[in-house]
Amino acid sequence: MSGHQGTSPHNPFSPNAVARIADKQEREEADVTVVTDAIRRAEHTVRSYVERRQSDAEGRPEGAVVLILGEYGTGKTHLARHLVRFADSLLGNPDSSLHIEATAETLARVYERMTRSLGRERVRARVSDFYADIVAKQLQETGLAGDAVALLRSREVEPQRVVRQLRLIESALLRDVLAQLRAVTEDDMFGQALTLMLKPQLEEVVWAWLTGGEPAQALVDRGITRRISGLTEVLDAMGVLALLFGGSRTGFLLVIDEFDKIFTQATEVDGSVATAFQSLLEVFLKAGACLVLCGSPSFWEAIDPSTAQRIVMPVEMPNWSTEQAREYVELAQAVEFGGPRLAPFTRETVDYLVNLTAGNPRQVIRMCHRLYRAAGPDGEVTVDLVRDESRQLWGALRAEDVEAAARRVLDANGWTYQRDHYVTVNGKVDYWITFGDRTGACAVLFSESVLDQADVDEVLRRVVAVREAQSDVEMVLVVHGVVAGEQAVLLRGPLGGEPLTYRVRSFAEDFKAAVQAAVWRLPSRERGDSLGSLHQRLDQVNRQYASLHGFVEQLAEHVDGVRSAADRQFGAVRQQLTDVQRRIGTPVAESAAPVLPASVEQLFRAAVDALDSVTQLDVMLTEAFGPEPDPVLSDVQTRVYSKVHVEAFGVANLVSHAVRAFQAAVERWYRETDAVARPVDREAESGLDDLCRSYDAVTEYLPLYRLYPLADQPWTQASGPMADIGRPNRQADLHLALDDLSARVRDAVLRPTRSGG
Amino acid sequence: MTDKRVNPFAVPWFDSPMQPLRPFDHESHEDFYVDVDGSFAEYARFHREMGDFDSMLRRGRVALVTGDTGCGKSALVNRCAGWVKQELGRRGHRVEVVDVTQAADPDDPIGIPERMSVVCDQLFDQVRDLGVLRPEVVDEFRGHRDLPHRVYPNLGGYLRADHALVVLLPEVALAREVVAYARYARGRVLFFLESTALGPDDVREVVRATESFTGLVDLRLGELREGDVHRFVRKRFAGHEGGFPRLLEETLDWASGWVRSVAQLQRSMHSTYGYLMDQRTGYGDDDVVTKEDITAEVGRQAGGTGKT
Repeated sequence: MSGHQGTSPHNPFSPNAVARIADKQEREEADVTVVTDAIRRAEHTVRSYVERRQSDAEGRPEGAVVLILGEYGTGKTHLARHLVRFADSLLGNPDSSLHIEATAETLARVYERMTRSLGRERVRARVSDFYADIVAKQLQETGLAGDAVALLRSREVEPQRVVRQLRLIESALLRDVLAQLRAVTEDDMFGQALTLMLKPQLEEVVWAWLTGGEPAQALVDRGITRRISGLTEVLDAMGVLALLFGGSRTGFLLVIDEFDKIFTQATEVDGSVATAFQSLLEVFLKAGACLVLCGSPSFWEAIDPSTAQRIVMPVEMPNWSTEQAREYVELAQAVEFGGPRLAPFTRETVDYLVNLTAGNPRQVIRMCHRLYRAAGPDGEVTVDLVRDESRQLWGALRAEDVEAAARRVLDANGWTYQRDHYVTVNGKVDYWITFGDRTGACAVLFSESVLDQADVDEVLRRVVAVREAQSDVEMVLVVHGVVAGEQAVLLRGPLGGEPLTYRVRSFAEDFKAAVQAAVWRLPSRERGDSLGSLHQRLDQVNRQYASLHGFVEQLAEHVDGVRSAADRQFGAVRQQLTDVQRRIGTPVAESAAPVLPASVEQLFRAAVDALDSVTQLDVMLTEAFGPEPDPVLSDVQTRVYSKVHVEAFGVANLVSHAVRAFQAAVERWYRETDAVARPVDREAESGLDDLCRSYDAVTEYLPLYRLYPLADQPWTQASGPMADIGRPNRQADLHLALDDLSARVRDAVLRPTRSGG
Repeated sequence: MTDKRVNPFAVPWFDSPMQPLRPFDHESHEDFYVDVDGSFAEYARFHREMGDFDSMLRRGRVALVTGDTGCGKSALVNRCAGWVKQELGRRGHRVEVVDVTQAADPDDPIGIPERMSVVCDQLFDQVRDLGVLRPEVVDEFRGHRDLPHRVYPNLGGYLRADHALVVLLPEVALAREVVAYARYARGRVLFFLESTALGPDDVREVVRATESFTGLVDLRLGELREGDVHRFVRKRFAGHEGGFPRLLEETLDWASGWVRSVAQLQRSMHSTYGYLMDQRTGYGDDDVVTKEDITAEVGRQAGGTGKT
């Protein structure tokens, strides 16, 4: 991929800057890591862990826990992925460590992914390691069959076979295995279950149980009566696997991304978050395994201090300094062009970029992507360009979305508020919130990005107007965009706190916390006015009841989701019918077996389906020419009159064609390389890379956000407030199907080759 | 001069040297029993427990033989079964031994009731073919052939007068399965069970669980004891007049140091002699089998494990 001199149609900066841990080989060559102090410290912990294992292979050295904490976009997942590779490089064998992407909503789901990633064969093989060592030890004591001992130690022969051939005392040897596994797992039931995996007839039922199934009668007869389902059982099972593999010569590295979500949910279920988390840490440390947890800094604050002490290495992901951002720009371009360079950026523009984004790595990378593209092949990234692009990027965030999200929070908490409240003629407040037990009010102001002094002046003008009209007022400024670092400092004093920058995933919590903090700063009412407080409280309760309609909205969202899924399924069925019809029509050429493997074809199909589901052109036009066209035609006209809709249709159409052309090219590539039947050689892989680059180049200027108007209001989508709720999901679906499509296609194509399949 | 070559560890009537002795089928096998693993003491205990067979004939009995893999459990079971057949025969009873040991495996991924049902089903075919059933009950037995709770309690009653049955059941891994069979024991039927998985604690549990309705015959085979290897080899040598090389005392002492079960001893010795028999020279009465010969053969066996 590297080595392209001069200009390239390929943008060296990632459009999304979202790392995935799923496949360590995926786009390895394109990864750029700016080695910060946090990364060095994390590397040190992992290196120490690996060295402990290597120096004490017989014992069970203590494990390690690395807690990677950071806000969204600070590179937590990127670091986790880097650590996985780093461990591999230390061990010298990519297969000798185990790493699992376990981003999941519950611990049970993490466990499910853990067992799936490990796989039945790997677990059985690990149990067999114990058996092989025990058999080898006994044989070695006899001084006989030295060859067999060597074969057993190198795992080149199954212990069962040696036992059978030499008529060793199988029952006594299995008793030793059971005793060892019970000691290792510190659990009689798991020790027994794992030992039973050595019995070929029982392996399947044990595995079914280990992966969460009900225990088969054969296991129940042996005292294994409980399913692995509750939090305690799942933690026990995770610990057992950690112990099983942590004690191995190869080590065990488990990465859990966004782990704080898991424990947040656990709290809601049974309130045992601290205990569960503590158990997890203890189990992994004791097991000699390495646990890498990525999460939000707020979780760190919520951890019990006694638990925190057990965390060997908390690593807080800082934002980039200007030097680090420059290093990133140079490294990323070195990967693409074969040598480091800052152009088309300058020191000044990178400094400004860091100032605007507060150095948040993801935002820096995304902006770099846009700026590189906007500058063009021979252009330069100027400060003005940075400002314009940042306005476009963050200004694209729809103000109404942010306001709707704020309203949902206010409703859910039962707070009294007025929308578009004017304290003076020029003093408009977006939300004016009052509280029964406090005097004054909380004023919520919305603003677009605050990037320069003019933006600051505008905000201050509004703040001053409100403060002049009302003395007891606390301000919450919500920015749907970005606040440049210097400008944030200028606003801190007048506002009484930091502006709140809108982030989709955390806004509800952030906004609630900001309003609550404002409440505490407001003066309390006199105690004598208890009746008034009571009224206020009753009103609040009533409003909370009223906010139950939120549940209905969620239900509507669910129905919307089901309908979208049904539409997609219907589309898929229709596509299949069309395919069948086509094959029947052209029996010779089309009746051949599909060219693409199912996993690859599925990616293309999902991409096209996602586009179809937002455009719904066929449905719209069919209805327009249907039996009752009049009401439909008016809607059609509304849609085609809208510039953003027409633009979105155009982008969707282009992307759709690009996807189909990409698919056709990959099919051609399959035919020419015979990749289904033969391993992919370097030349073929390079050809595939070219196709992926072409697709990236073609679609690079077709950003998905331009499809949002269609996703926000699909043709078959019900209108009204309920429609607002499903919008983020539809947008997310688009990204899920189309983001990084070329990388995912490449990975799906090459995976069989890498796995030896 | 004739080249009469004998493998002293071969067992007549059997294709494989590892099949357990079966004196109720081949009387000559009785002479091959050797007192290893304390088996003679257990055999004597069985005699004592069975006494005059009154309890077996009136209420039925269950014998459980426990011990590690390759310690001679099946051979002991067969010897006991042969003795019962012989002794009751002397007293005017016709005793048949039914072997359903291969009907199920203790590691089959099924529950106890299902496994017992499979065994019971196979039992019918074998019992019917022996001709020991009263003709009028054959259809009833057939109708219930996979229902242990119908078949076993009535099994003694299905037999012709003066007939008795010894049933060799499959190996069991669970104490509850032994108890389940013990509940079904009725007059004129003797169940034999063996297990490598049940330890002394398990057996005690079984004895306690069954003592109110039967006296479980508990036979346990231990590890090889001092002198067992020498005794076993000498007994095999004594069974032949000559035609094979000998083992020196020091070789036997050496083997006693690493051989852990009678099955392992039988396998390594039979295989070593078998290999040497196929060589052109060095297999006479004046020759000796050395440690090196045995070590080399064990190595060859282990090599036969191949790479997996």
